Amino acid sequence: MRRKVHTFCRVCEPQCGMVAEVEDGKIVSFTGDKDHPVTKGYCCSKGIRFLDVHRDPDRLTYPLKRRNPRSEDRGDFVRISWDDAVGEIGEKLNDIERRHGEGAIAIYSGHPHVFNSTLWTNEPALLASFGNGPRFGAFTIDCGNKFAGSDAIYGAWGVQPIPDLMHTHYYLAVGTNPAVSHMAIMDISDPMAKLRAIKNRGGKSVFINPRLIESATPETGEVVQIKPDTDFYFLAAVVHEIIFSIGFDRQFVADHAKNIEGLIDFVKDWTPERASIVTGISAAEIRTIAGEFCSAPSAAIQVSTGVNMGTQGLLAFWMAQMISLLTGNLGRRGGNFAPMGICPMSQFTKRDKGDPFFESEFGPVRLTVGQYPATLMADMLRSERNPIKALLVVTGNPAQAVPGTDAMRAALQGLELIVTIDIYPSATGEMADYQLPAKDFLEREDVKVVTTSTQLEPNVQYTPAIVPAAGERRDDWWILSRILQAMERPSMLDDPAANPFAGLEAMLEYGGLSIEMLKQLPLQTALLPEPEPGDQFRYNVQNDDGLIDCCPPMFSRAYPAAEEHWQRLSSEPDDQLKLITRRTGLTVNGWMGNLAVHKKGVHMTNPLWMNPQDAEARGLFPGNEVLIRSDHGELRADLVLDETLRSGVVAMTHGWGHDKSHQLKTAKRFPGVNVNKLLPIGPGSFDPMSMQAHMTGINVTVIASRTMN
Amino acid sequence: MGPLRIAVIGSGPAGLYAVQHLLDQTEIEVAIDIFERLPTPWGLIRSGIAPDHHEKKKITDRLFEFYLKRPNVRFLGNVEVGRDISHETLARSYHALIYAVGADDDNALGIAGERLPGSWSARQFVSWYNGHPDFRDLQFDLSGPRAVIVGTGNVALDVARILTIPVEELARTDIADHALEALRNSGLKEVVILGRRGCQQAAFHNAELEELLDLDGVEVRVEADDLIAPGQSGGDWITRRKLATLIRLQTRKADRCRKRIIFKFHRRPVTVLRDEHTPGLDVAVEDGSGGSSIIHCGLVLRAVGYRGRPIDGLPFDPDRHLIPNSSGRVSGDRGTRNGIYVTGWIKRGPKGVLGSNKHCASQTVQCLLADAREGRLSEPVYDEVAKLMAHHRQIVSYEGWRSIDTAERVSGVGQGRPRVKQTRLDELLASASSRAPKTPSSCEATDA
Repeated sequence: MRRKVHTFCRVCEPQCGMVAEVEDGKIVSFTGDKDHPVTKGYCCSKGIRFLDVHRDPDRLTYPLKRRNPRSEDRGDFVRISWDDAVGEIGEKLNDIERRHGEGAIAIYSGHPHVFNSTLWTNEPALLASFGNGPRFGAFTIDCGNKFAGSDAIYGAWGVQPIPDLMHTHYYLAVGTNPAVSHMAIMDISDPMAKLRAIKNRGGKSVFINPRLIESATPETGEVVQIKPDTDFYFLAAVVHEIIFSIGFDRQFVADHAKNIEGLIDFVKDWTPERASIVTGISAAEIRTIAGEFCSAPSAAIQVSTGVNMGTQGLLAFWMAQMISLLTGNLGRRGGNFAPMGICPMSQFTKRDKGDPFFESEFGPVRLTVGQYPATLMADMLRSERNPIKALLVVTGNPAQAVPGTDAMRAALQGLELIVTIDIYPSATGEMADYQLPAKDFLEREDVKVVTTSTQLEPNVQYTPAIVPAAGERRDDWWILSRILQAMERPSMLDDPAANPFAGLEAMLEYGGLSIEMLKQLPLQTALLPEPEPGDQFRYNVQNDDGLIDCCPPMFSRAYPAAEEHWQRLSSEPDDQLKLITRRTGLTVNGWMGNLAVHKKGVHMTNPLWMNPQDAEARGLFPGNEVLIRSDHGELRADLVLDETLRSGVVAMTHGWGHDKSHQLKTAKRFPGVNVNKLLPIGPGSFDPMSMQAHMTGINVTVIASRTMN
Repeated sequence: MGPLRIAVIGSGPAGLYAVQHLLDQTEIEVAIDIFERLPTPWGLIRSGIAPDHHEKKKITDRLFEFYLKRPNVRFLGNVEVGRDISHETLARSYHALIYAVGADDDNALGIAGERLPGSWSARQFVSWYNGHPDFRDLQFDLSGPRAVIVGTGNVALDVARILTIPVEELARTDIADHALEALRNSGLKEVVILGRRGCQQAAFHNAELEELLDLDGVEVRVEADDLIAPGQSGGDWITRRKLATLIRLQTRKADRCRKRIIFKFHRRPVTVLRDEHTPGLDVAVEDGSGGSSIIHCGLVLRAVGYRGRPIDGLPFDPDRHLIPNSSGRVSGDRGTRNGIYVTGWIKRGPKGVLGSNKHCASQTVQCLLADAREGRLSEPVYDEVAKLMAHHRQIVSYEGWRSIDTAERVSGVGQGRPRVKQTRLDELLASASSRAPKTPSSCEATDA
């Protein structure tokens, strides 16, 4: 007998409605849910292919313990019972703490935890019981600037004004390729349909990107090809044009914001002419875009991952907020606003009082969403002054995902204890003492509620587990709790009535809902009222005076870097190659790296993509192996030509370099190379304001590699 | 037990899609040797696809090149099965053989005079302008003002296009140098395309027909009784689009008309004649109602389909011109031949586009894997290939191909062409054996 279960994807933000068919206790199909009121059957290959992840025989199914020393590349793992695993881990953690203090246990949380509702809601309390060691994670890899930016401008890091694509007439998309990425910190299904609708209502999209991206079509809009990591100068020049040429509504700004004089003073030097020198976009074109933005009936702006991962991501995010505010598009239908969501996220993410910066062993830092800069992790793990002896990794893969792969591996080597909680035996897991098997999302109950504040069509959905977990896979909150129990600390398992969904129920209660009510609804889904743009001002500014800060004083820390970076860029030779990151439609970072179905042709490896003119000028041809060098490392990769890249720009994809993932048979067969080896680490490798790592716009040289194999 | 040893004979799309499917699966470990008669891989992608269709050839850069780089795949170029190594020897050296040799011959018109000097198959002409070493020395007489192409498939349109396209445009492609030179000096003004049936039944695809709209300085005339308004045709949308394009072609005025393409539908050639006293050929043509006429021309190219050739040691279906098979398993009078497979044109006949080979190869590979699973494949009894590699005059390895490829592309750089093809066997073999391909000094290799 076949039964159909309505559920939702948990690979990326839109969390599209999916439907699973189950027969004899096995999932036989997994596709987009046509009945879903918002996503209407839309889904992408990543969601569909998750069934292959679910079925992957290389997954973790039982707790594993390493028998050989970490110095041996390949782990010798043996199955162990849960009781023994958590018992041993608890004992070792307590011992480490006794010997080295409360800060000796570090924790790394990866990206997937955001889509795991019982982990996300219980994590803060659970992790707090592991002492006060440093936390690391993926926030400072690809979006730290946005959280630090909102923290300062709006007084809450959770306030993320999103473009109102459902109503806008002009969409300025900087460093985002919705057709491939399906957008980040913004939950919208089938984004291309929304962009086509903008054109259909007489508007258009303008994409600022070094590549002629897939999102730019005759039905959406064109790309203005910018040089990598210069978005801030482009955006500042647009603000300059608005302030000094076009003009803005001072009363509107005064009603909602403060420190406008500080902004004017900062921006006065960033003219379109100066911007044109480094961006490769003419001053006239910048002025045209500023004019179009101002004159559109409504206009929305978005800066995303391509900007975040540069050196000036925070300043660029700031400028984008100011463009929206000065043009009266902030908090307006068709402009930008942060939906309130089912519960007032802005209140829960309010900035702590006082200066967030403090002096660390490696210079001044702050925590962004509670995390230290990921690119300081290797240094901190090796610190003698503040010894860290244990690392707990919750659904993450720092050995592969964080820049400076070799340094990270060396740092991990030196730890006394590494424990990973994951669905896969990752490269980090391979180095661990214990690998603990988590459930995948088809094996897990969840509530889609944590992202309602970045949804234009807010909806919440409950899903049961589609099938029971295979083997001894467990919920992440349960695993953390069991370890805490073994450490004789309070955990969620102390009270037999403790409910892992309590935090989610509390959120639902704001919207007059409960999990029980959701279960009664068709597709276990409730639609929430359309978000009200005016909430941006009513609820979402958490500064004490209720005003948006146009020029947070702490931003002045980043001014010298903006000037230095401009000086450096403007004196670079014309043929300087810049490495950017390129996502493919097949995977999200390291996810799905072990699926054979994707390993075809160019996707069998992680090539270097290069504009044909640049290749010709260097005497390089497709099929060549090339040597790529940065100031931080070097790699060899196959060259593939791509005329969609701006001349002077080369691209590679993150999430490769599976050579040490010995248990992942497919990934190991198609290892590719890890672009992180070309990226900076340590002090100076991150934005001093937001702790966001420098991941894109990296200067490289590319030459033919002598070895032809 | 070692990996399953598989030989793929032919490195065109059919063979490489078979390699793809073999590499895709993880159940059975494989070691693949690809045998290629020429020093260069890619089959008809290199020697068939028209030089002005550069985009279509990029599949090698994005897909096939990566299969040749795999550690468990060997490219053995310049090795001809049947000449350098026999089928029987090969069969005893591998668990399985996959023949992906394509269709090396062509259909005849079956009329008197079609083999007269000056009358060729389009396949010969295509291989010539694409620089296939076996065809590079053919001498096509392009001095006359008119050429006649018999047949209305995509190959006929390719040939018509190459004969009429401005030479400056061809000079930016990878067309063979000797062909470029000959076309530069051509006196050709008119290409007549003869179709036995009506224009609605013509074999060409719409995309290829629509390309004629972009030909600079070329006028197109369509002589067809059944050229009617698309709406009145009652045909499917493919036919309606075809009619619409033919009407647009007919009414389109070329500026500075240099050359002309004339489609003559419902015209059947009956004989090709040569008069001792005048240069060129006469093609006698009949129309549907029994009327006849003579077309005088300098060149006749028959484009009425490719056909497969028999292979020594394997059964052959002389009517369908392919190796008889069941889902890719070779089957003859003596039943299925264990461990011998076919894919591509030699399996299903010369039809379909490049991508059709993917599905075709999948079926063959599934059969092969099933046979391996169920123990129907015999263990190789000897490693003849090692012996062959020791004694063969020059096997072109993958590294050898990389040297050829780089040398060709380097030559193209100065001329604004994607590559300048090497077309002589000795030249190709010399490039293959020069281990360090010439590259501009700016990219001097270092080995840090």
